Amino acid sequence: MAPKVSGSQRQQELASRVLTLMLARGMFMSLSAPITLSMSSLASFFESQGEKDVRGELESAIAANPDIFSVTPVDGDQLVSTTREGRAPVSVRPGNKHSFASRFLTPMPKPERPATRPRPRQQPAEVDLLAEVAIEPEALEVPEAAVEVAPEPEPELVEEAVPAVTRTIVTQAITPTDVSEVDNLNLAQAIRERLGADPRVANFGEQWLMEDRVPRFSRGDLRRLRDYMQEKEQPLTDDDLVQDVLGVRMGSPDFDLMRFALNYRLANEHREFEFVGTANQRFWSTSGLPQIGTTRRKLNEIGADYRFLIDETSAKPAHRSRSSIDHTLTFYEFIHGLLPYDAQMQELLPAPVTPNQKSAVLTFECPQSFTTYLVELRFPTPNRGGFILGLDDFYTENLVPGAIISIERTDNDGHYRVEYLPEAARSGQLLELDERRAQRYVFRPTTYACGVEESQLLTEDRFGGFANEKPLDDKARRRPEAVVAAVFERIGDAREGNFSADFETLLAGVNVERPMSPTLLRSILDYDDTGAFSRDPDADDSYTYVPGSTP
Amino acid sequence: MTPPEATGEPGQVHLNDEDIAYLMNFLRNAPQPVTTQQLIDVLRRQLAPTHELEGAPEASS
Repeated sequence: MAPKVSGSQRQQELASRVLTLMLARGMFMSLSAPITLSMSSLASFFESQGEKDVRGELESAIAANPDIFSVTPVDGDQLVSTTREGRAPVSVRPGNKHSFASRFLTPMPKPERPATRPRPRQQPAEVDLLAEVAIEPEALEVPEAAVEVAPEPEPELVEEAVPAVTRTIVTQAITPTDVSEVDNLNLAQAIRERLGADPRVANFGEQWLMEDRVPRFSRGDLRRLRDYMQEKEQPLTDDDLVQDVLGVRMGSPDFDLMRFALNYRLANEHREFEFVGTANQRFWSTSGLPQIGTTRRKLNEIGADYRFLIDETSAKPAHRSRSSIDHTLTFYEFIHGLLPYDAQMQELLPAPVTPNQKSAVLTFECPQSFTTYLVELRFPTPNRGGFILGLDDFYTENLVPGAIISIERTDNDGHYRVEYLPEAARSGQLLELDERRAQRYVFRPTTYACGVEESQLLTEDRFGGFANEKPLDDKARRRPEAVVAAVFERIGDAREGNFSADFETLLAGVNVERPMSPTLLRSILDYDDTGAFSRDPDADDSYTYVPGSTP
Repeated sequence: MTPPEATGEPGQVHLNDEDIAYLMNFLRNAPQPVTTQQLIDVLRRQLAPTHELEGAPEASS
């Protein structure tokens, strides 16, 4: 339906013609799409149709029909617009209120959450330390009126009735101890006593660290450590284990920490690992490793042989107070590769690092043979003496019984330098233990090139009585007096049924069968209750043995 | 500052809780193991500021 135009007749005529013209132009456009023509082009069209000066009339006719046409001034001209519906176009802006882009650009505020309820905390049990302290009765007195008015006790009333009691606890201020007058040894002892008992602190040797900072090892790590030691067939130091098994290079920032962790953690694995080191050279051992040193005699039996050392050593020896010692090798020490852990040796060697440490592996370096020997120091027990074993090869390759050796300490408390006196080669018939058939003492020609103490050299001319003798049985060996008597009979000078021998010869002779110190031998000879032994008045430092009265 | 607590043998000292707390604080800040000698030095240093203050001459007024 054609829209109704308004205005004068002339205006209606012009408006109808303009509308017809514009609808013809926009006949394929949508109903609401604006159809636009400029006022100048409309005027030109009507003038081409024979109208004259029609522009003014066109403007008035269009202005008279604002419902049909809209006019927009543009650059000195006017744009006339309408739609196929015959209505002035209405500019419709696309709604962007809920567009995707606008929602991104102007996000909605976060929804407000209700305030979280505070989580209830576990209240510590209230302990009234001053419960027994007498408080003035007035302070706790409840007004009688409140109680009388309310026969049934109400909480509010009770709370109001009890006045707050302020308590002040005065503690005595603790000040640091003045340690300026205390020496380092006592301070170290005090630190060990206090921190050593604290489970939060990890301690090994002279090192300390908070326990929670010590790296932990898995069962796999421990198994690899044990396997590596068994593969090497000897105790290994913590340095070697950290580098070879744990893969931490020496000099890396973590090396010290890992080494401490290894020592601390293995010390707690009592069943699998045993500390056998010193403070500077920390060896670790495990089960299944071959024994260091002699297998001729059980370690317990050797310890029992050295039992006399317990009485000859101090309960608190001054470890590492001596820089070197000289020692004359006995036959017993020679065939077993031993050294006694006597008073001198205790002053040379270090104390055990850990409590209840049974043994320490040491390294003995012989610069004369360019060889380093791994030896084991067995610490004394309440009923067995201490000794060092593992020197078999050093002895048999370089020395003879009676040789003088020197052991010198180094800065490393686990490493020692052992030397002998190099001398021109000499030969002689010296005592040996023939083990090919039944064990017997024999004399064989021997060449040696070391310094010896002549009185302790077991030559055939002085100790010929040992030839073809069997070693004493264990029952006799366990009794030092019986050993002394047997030695008298073997090497003593027979005089009217008695035997006489000088002290040094006796000392060398008894040490063929079992270890015996000069102190112990002198004690047996001088203080024998049976009267079997007595001083020989005819010779200097000689003794006589009367057979038949053997203890 | 308290004098060293008397113990059984002469020269021995017993550290109190304040000393141990000071050592523990030092250990907590140590990333690597420390030696006993270092702990001894820490204990001796604990009193150093006090000694310095005591030994310092009084300011003239």
